[in-house]
Amino acid sequence: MPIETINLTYKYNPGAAFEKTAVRGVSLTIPDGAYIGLVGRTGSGKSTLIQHFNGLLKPTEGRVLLDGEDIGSDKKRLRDARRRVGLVFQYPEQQLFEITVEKDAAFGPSNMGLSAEEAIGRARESLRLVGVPDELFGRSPFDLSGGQKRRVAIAGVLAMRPGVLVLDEPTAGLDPESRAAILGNIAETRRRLGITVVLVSHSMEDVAEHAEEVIVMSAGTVLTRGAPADVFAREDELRAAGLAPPLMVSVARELNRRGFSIPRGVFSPREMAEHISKELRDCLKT
Amino acid sequence: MRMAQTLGVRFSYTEDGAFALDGVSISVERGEFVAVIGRNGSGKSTMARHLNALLRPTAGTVLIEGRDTADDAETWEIRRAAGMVFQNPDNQLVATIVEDDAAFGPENLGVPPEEIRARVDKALADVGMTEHAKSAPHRLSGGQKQRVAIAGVLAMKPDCVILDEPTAMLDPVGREDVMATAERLNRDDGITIILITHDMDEAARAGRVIVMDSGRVVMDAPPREVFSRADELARYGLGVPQAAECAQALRALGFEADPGILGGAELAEAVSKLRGSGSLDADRDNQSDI
Amino acid sequence: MLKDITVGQYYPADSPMHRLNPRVKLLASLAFLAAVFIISGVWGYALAVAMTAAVIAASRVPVPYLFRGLRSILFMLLFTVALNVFFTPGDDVVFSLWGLRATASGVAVAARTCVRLTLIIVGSSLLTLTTTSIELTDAIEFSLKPFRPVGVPAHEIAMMMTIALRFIPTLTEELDKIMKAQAARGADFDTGGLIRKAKSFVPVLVPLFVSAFRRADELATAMEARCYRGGVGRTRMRPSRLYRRDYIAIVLAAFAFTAMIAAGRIG
Repeated sequence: MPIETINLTYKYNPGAAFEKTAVRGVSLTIPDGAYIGLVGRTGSGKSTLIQHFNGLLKPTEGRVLLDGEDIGSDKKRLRDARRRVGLVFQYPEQQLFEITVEKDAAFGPSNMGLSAEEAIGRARESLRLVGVPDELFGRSPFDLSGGQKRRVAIAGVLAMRPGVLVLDEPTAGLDPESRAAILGNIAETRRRLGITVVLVSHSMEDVAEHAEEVIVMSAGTVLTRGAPADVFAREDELRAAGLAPPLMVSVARELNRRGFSIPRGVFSPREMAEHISKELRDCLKT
Repeated sequence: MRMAQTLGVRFSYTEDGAFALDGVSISVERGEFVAVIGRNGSGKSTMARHLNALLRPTAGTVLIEGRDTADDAETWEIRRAAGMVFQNPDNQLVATIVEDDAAFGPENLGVPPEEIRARVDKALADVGMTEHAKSAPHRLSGGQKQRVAIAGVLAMKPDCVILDEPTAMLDPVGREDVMATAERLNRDDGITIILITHDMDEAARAGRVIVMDSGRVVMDAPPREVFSRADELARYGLGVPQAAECAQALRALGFEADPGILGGAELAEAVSKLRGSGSLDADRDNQSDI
Repeated sequence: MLKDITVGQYYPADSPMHRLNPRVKLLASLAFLAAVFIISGVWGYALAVAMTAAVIAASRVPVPYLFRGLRSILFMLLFTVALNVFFTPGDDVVFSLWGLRATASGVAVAARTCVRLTLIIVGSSLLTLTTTSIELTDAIEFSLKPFRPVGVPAHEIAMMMTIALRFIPTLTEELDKIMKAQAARGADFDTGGLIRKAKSFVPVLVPLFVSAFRRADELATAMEARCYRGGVGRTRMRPSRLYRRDYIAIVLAAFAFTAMIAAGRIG
C-alpha cells in the first residue's frame, strides 16, 4: 500500500498574522514494505508531513494518494486511510483512557465497527505482538511502567491492522533498555506482518540501525533521501540541516583521513571494531 | 564543607512497601560535576528529591552544606542552596513571562525588589535567554524552556544545581543547549552540578558517574572507569557510549585499546596509534574521503 | 477555537496602558464593568464606546488581534440578540419570521445587550492584554486583601489564577494533540446525535484530566523546590508603586465614569 504525496504544502493559520508554512511542495513516495527513517530537526516539518499520511491534516495545496487514490476525495476514503495508515504520536501513552489495557487497545478496532469480541481479540493479538505480557491485559493502563504504557499505546494502533505504521519518536523519554526493546518490537512486528514502517526519530543511531531508507527533512522540504550509508556519508549536508550523523560515521571519516579505508555504512560500534581489526591485521602482515 | 552528603539513606514511598532507596551513601564535593545514571525505577530521581528536601529519608541522614534535611527550620535554606530542575519543561514554569518566572524563586525568599531585578537579569544572561526575557514560555522551544528553568534556580544564588533528567524530552539541539549551559555554570561559576540522566554520552561528560540499581549505589567512579565496565553496566540495564563500545570490542578482538575511551575523536586517535606510524602503504593514504 | 480566546493572553508591548499600575487597571476595569450596567441612553453608550476606543488606542494592541477574542463568543452574542429581538413582549411589531414577532422594543433591548456584552468583553480583554498575569495576581491580591479577615484566601486565589492563565495554551495544545491521536484510532467527533457526540469525548477528556492532574502535581513539586510557601514573606520584583501617570489615570477614569453615567441620565 504505497503512500504518495504530490506537491504537498501545508500552512498553519493560512492568511493570519501567524501564518507558517510547515511543509512546502513535498512530493515523495513511501513504497510498500519499506522501513523508512524520517529525520530532521524540530520544526523541519516532519510531524506535519506524517499527519497527512492518514488524513489528519488536509493539504493546503497538493494531494496525498494511498494506493493511487486521493484520500481527501470523500469521507469514506478518509476513514479508510485512518485505519490503513496507523499513526503513533509522540508520547502515545498520553492518549490511554480505558479502564483496562485490552479495552484501550480495542478502541481502534471497535471504532471500525467490529464486535466487542472481535475487537478484544485483535487487541490481545497486538498486545502480544509488542510484548505486553498477558497478565497485564486486565490491569489499568495507568498502573503500568512508562515503557509498558507506550507498548499498549502502540498496540492500540496496530490493532486496526494498518498496512503502514508511522511512529513519531516512539522511544522519546525512555531509558536505554526500554528504547532498544521497543525498537526491537517494531522490527519484529514488521517482519511478522510485512507492514511498511515510517520511523520519525532524532536518533541517527537508531535510524541507521533499523531503517532501510532515510528521508532528511529541512525547512519544510525533503533535503535528501537514500540508503543510510549514502545519506549519512553526506556529513556537511546533514550538519547544515542541524543534524549530526551517527558517531561511527565521524569515526570512519577520521580514520580514513589517516589512511584507513573503512567502507560506508558502518554504523554499529562492533561492526566498526571488526573492520578496524581486519585492517590492522592486514597491515601487520605486510 | 561538603556540598551534599547522604549517610545510609533508606526511603520507602509506602508504609510497608519496598525501599526505593536502600542504604545510599554518597558525598559530593563543592564544584564537582556528578552524573547519576540507572534504569527506570533504580531510585535516582528519588535520590535527587532527597537532596532538595522534597523527600525526607525514612532512615539515615541527608546533609546539604552540613544542614540536615530532616530539620524543618533548614528546609528553605537547603532548597535555596541546592536548586532543582525537572524533566518536563512545561510543568515547572509558573509565570506567563520568562523574566517573571525567573523572579519566582527570589520573590519567595523575600529578596528586595532591586536585587531580584539584578539577579534575574544576570541569571537570564548566564543561560543566554536575555533576548527572550519578555516572551511567553509556551512560545519557546523545549531547550529554551529548560534554560529558563535553570535561570529560575540561578536567581536563588544556589551553590548546587540538581538536574533531574533535564534533557529527556528535548531534541538533540535542545539537549546540547542544556548540557553546555550546565558545563559552563560548573566551569565558570564553580556551581556544583548533579545531573540525573538516561543518556550515556551526557554522563560521560561529567567528572564522576554514580550508577544506581534497585535503590543502591553500585558504582561510583570517573566516567572512564565506569564505562570501561560494559558487562557490569549491561546487568543494570545500561549501555556505554558508542566509542567505548567499539574500543571494548577491539579489546575482545585482541587489541590493546583503552576500554575507557569516551569520544569519537579519541577513538580514531587511539586506533591510528595502534596501527603505528607508516605501516599502511602509501596508495591507501590517498583514498582519504569516504 | 480555544486558541482564539484573547481573554487572558498577554500582548507584549510598551504602551501607556501597559505601564499603568495593575491595581489601578483592575479597579478601573471593575468600575467600568459596573458603569456599563448602570448607563442608559444613546449618549451614555456613545461615551462608553469612545472611552473604550481611547483605551484601545493607548494600549497599542492591534485591533484585529483584540477582536479575534470576540469571534469565539459570536455565537453567544447572536443567540442573545435573537432571544431579545423575538421574545421581548410588545405590540410594536417590526417584522415577523416563522411566526415569531420581532418588536421594536425587542430590537432596542437587543442592540443594548449587544453593545454591553461587547464592551464587557473588550474591557476585560484590555485588562489582561496589557497586564501580565503576575501583575494581575498582585492586583487581585491587593483588591481581595480587605476581605481576608472574613476568610478570603487572597494570595491563594491570585496564585491559582496565574497558574490557570499560564497553562491555558499548554492544555489547549494538549487537547488538540489528544483529539488527533484518538482520531488516528478511528474516533469520530462529528457524526451522531448529542449523546453519541458527548460519549465520543470520553476518550479525549480522560487523558486530558489525567495529564492536567499530573501537571498540577509536578508543578506543585517544582514550586516547592523553588521555596514557595504561600504569600507570607514574599516580595515582588516589581513592587506596586503609584506614579504620576497612575494618579492621572485615576482622575481621568473617575471623570469618564461620572460623565458616562451622567450622560445616560440626560439623554
